[in-house]
Amino acid sequence: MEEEKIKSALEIAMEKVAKMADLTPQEIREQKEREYRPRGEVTANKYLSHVYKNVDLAVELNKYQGEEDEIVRKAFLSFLCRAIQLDEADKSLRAIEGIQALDIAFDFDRVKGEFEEISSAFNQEREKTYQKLEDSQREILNGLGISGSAVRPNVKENASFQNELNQMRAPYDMRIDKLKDKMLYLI
Amino acid sequence: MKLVNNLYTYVWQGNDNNCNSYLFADVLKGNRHVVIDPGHITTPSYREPGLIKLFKEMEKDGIEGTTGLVILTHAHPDHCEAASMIREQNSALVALHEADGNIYKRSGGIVDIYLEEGELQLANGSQTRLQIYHSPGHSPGHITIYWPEEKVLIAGDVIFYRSTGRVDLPGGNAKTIKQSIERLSGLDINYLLCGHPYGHPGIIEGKEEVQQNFDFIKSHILF
Repeated sequence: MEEEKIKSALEIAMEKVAKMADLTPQEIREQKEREYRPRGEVTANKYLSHVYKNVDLAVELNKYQGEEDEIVRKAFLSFLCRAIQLDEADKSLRAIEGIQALDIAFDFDRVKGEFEEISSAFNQEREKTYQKLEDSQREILNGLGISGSAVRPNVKENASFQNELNQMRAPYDMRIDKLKDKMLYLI
Repeated sequence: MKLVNNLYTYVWQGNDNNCNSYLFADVLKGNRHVVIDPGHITTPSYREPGLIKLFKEMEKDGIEGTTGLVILTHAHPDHCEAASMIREQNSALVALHEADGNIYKRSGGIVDIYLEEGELQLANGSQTRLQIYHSPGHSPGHITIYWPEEKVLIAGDVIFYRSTGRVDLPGGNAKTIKQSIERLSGLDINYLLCGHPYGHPGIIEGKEEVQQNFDFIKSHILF
């Protein structure tokens, strides 16, 4: 009687792998997405958070080839587009500058100009709303007998201010979203 | 107990840790009062009813009507816990320095007014003019309240009888409490009202007594 060979764990594992079907192109793409998307996002995050010192962003992004390159660049672009927010002007402008490192023929100066125009109009309207509510709060306080240079009504956490702010910002947010969409599909 | 003019003092007399409270009576429209540091609702260890005791003492003094404003010298629970309840029951406003705002809000408190360095005017026909000083060190947003007309300083936990406030709690800072005390020691004070009755009721009366207390702290504690 032939003696059964005792297989090592490695041999068993290799046999199992051999029996497995090859990955489909879709699965390969997904695997690459899982591996390379975070690289693009991490690069964008490090750039936005000023972690990079003396790092050429373009060189950093050109480390990859073919499909991997496309995944990294798309992830980088999408991360920076998401960072563009109405009430974070500095961060948003830095994000737009970061996108320029992708070396795409696109009028980024125009986008920056548009962002600045929207942001400035929003800030002016917000300031007016704040001032209006602060004045009305001060009037109420005066009516109660409370006044003076030490007194600053807590307008920012006031429910009326929050409601007015949310209503006021909606059209500005839409304009910012359109701006982001213009860049989001550049790759 | 009435101290001077319309200022009342409520020295904590329980066994647990709780703060001294102060009250300006009838200084707001509608004869509403201003309470400074209402303290605990219930003290944490001995479960003493801090707020009820305060209300009873106020009643003994003939204080009627409602509180319109609660001023917190800082946002530690032994000073501010009862503020939310007074706010709710009296439709009162709560005021403190913004640098202690987050500590207060984390415990569920709602801030109506931020107090900054400057003048606080309380009006009900006549005016009570108070000076707010930002006096950090015990907490980042600690304020002290000076009433120049009667030369009263409500010092919270910056300064006690022969002692100073702790600086080892989060946000505490020995250097800044020293600066705060140095600055306050330059004021003309007849009544120094402390935040706790530590070994003394915490009501230091008389210019000389107050000066001696500052001198003792400066020579024995701060240097």
